[in-house]
Amino acid sequence: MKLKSTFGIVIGVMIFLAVLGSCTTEEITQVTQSDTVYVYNDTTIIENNDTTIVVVSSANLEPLESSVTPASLLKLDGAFSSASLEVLLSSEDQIPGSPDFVYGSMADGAGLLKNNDTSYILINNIEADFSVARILLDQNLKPFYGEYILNANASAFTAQCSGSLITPEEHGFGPLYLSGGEWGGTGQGVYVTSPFKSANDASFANILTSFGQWNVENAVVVGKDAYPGRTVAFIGDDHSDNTVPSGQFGMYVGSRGDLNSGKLYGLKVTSEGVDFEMDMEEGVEYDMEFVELTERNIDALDAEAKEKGVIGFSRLEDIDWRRGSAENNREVYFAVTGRKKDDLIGKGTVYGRVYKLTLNAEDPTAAGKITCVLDGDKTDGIAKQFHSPDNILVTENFVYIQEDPNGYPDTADKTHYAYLYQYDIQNGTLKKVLECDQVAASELGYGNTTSTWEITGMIDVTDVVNNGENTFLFMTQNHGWEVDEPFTDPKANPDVASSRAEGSVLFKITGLDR
Amino acid sequence: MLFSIINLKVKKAYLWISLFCVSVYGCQQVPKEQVVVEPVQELKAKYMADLDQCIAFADSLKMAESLEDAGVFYKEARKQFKHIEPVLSYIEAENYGTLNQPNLLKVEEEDLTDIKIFDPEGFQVLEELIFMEQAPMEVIRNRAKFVSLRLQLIRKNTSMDDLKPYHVLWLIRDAITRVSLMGITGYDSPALQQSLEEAQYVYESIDNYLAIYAQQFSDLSLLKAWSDEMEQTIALLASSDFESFDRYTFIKEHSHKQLALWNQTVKDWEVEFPFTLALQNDAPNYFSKSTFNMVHFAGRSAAPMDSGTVKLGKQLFHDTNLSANGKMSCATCHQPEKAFTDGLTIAKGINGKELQRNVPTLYYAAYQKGMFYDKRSGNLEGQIVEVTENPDEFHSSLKGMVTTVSQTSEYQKQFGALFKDSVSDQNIRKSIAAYIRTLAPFNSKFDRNIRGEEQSLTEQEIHGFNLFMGKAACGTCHFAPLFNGTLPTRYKDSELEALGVPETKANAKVDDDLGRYYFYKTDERKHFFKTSTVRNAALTAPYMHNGVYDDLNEVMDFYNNGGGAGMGLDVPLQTLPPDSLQLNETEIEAIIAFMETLTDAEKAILQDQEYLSVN
Repeated sequence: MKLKSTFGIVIGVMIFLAVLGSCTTEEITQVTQSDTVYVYNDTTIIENNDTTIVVVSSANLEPLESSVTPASLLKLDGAFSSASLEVLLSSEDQIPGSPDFVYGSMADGAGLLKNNDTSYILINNIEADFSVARILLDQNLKPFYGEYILNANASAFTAQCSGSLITPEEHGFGPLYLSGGEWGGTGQGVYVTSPFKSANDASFANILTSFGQWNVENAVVVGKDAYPGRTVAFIGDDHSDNTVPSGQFGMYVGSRGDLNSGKLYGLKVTSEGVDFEMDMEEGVEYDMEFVELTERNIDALDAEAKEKGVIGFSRLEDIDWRRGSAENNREVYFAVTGRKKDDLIGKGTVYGRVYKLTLNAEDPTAAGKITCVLDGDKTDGIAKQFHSPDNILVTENFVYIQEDPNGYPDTADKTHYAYLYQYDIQNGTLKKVLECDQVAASELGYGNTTSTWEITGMIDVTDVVNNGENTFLFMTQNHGWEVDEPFTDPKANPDVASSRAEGSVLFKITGLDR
Repeated sequence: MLFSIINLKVKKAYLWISLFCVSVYGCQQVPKEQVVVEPVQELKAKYMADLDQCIAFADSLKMAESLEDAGVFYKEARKQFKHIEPVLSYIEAENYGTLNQPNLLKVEEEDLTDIKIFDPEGFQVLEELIFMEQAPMEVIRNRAKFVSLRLQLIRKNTSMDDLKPYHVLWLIRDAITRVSLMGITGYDSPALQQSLEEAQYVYESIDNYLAIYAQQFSDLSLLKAWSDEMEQTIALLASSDFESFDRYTFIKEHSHKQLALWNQTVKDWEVEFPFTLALQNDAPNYFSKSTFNMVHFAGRSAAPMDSGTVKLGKQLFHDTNLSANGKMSCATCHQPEKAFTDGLTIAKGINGKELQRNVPTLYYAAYQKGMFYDKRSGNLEGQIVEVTENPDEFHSSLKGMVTTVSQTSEYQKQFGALFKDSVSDQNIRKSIAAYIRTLAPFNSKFDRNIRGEEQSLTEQEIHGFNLFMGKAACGTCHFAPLFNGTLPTRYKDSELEALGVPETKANAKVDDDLGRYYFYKTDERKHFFKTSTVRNAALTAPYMHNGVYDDLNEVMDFYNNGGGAGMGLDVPLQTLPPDSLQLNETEIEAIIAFMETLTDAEKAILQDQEYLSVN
């Protein structure tokens, strides 16, 4: 008898699936794949039938005035003493408006949107809890509400690493949030989430299958002026290999707002004598172009790319493009974190590099230039302190580079905790902005001195906040900072007992140049 | 009784799902008059229908109230999982790996500061929880939830728009390969040992997919040959039991026949493959020199294996001048006449100093992802760096090596002719590696027999292979045809295992070598070592990483007793089941007789010149 009743459930589930799969939105005429979030024009989201537009009100919700966590976990360099650091939220904080919300483990990529009222919406990947948080901030960027819009069940336990927001103002369509599904044993693709997604929505994550299967660190859409009428997205492939550097620079090109039916490309260096990334010297410009890739399966795509001469980097991480003019927008920077293996010496970077791409003005896939602007392997060079640059933010005049040390500080210059650097595009100078002060932090009870933290997710929110002050947000992944109660929100990751448990911190920094 | 109710209900559900799939296609903006169902759409419909059933049963398992129900739902979900396996394992390779992973702690060591440790998830975990451990229902339901969620995420994000006929052929061959090299060993059915039944579901799908692509065949008799072969194979599997199944005949008469049909189909469909993955696109069988694509294993930066480079590599391999004191060459430890080992318990380095471990054979070393017992080097070229720089081995440097080689004009000439940048440490390493890559002749008695070139295997030897691949479970870690730990069908990883190998033959204490642990200091990797090849094992005594066992009989006893843990030693994360394999003496003798058929050449030939296979 019992079995029969369970069979009722089987049939019930099938009916549910059938309803889920049926189409109800007649208006979606341009949709190529009936099951993904699609953007119709600059402002309207035509959602698939399991996405709800949420209107959030800040009325009556009390903000977190100040974090329990001190900003002194980080130490500003003397040259940047005029900058101001503030902790907006950390894992040990309780937001009065949503006391149950926990800012979880390994906060990573983020994007900030202005809400309809005076408040802001921060979308933030919580990597180790396999989830994406939405945190509402008041006019002073004080958090007053936190919730999870993509939880571990919806991502099926896939870590969401770097992220990027697409907005009508910057990209000509959206808002949509892209995140790289990097580890957790899944299909390793680009996830797309509506920032307005309902937190009650139990639906599954949307993956942009047309972006292909890579070890995606991040996917970033270029500014709307770079290529009018088109959507050009860059894909960072964090593929590690011990024989041949295999992290490729992918690119998706579709019509404006179309994330489904465009084509996929890989970057190829065409200058004579460049077989590996280390064949390119710091400061020298090389020719490059993009070749089309038609495979989508992770092994076939990698093999096709290699067959077609797509160049590999030793773990390609974060990507960003320069703000300002359309020409600026076509200048793209990316970080390669490096890998230390005997046979990679001379082929792939060990300590990390930052590259600049100058894309073709007419056609993003046509001939352009590539330059290694910062080479951490030159132990007497300007980037001699580099120990695994990982995340990158580009403003009009500066590149902000964040480290995630890979654990081989082989020279005195490299013997330090994670740095945030500022690279001056015009002058080519590199300065340390701040360092994770893990000695002081461990004395205060935050982590230890051996598990090195990562600085990540830095975004320039000056234009969004628009209060006359240069404002940036970034996060630290405070590996080793654990307390009795795991820093895990069961609404993000129901598996609290085996969760990563460690804390993260969300910082605001003002007074840095753009 | 239970089963008949289920079958009835399932049929209804299947119908319902079929209708639903049609409605999904109805939603696409294709004008009605143009609806021509492409094979790929039909393939997708079939796949999605099976996937839906798999999800439905995983969901039922998620809510099961008794172990008995859980068992029933597990088997139904698993059946559908095997139905979708050929497509799923291709279009969702990583997800497939997650859903079908062994029930062992998963450790991913990216670098020193990025080490992730996961509890295992997926079907094999559920199978052990339900049928072996009789775990609490809450635990089972939780693990079932993971499977259901992951399958639903996959379902929601399935695109097969880019699947071309050559992809379909690839995934069919992968499915055949997976059954042949892994499935029949019981690799992924640890508790139920229902692998032969599961293989039938895979073949049902292959048969269905080929029928869907009927219009692709110009020669319909070829399609008929396929369906006859599928029918016979399924019937054979259905009438066999796991323990007595004749795996040798299965591979020889069926897997290889299927490969032949597949090769004919490639021609018939006029398919051209744009590139080659791990297996050659025209691999004639699983046991030959032309089975594998060396570029997949060596990487694209490797030197070509032409005769000039190989000859140079061989010279360097034997050149004692590469070591600081001029007395040690690669061949000091890797002696051709001993199948490139040295016959010692522990290797001896420069000045006779005892090194860390037993010398592994170089035969088939190229077909590994990771070198040394602890996989600290990524490839052969990297491994040579370590040997050169190790103060107890060559005690030299890459620069020193270049200087030495440059001093010989003959070398200068050879390098100048072969490499555009003449003598460099990279080119020296590339040459030696190219030579080592030729040490894979696939010319053993066993190879020649299973390829059908001769009929010289004795019944005992065949019986030994069948035990190796079945009851004795050797083949669940030493994967045929390489018989090492490099995982078919993607060949992207070589496995590390904890066996609890003892310090001495007294089997009283686990050897104190912590293996992989030394590399990243991950506690969960203590005592883990790479799985070595069994090929040429007759020539490579003594055995194990510490050379503790002098002959194959002792090795077999160790495994037959359930490894270290089975003998009562403390091996908390042993990856080998601690249970006895229940092998009797006759069976052990048969397995050893089989292993001795994996010798590539007679000792006499080896003493004269090592056996090379230059492509």
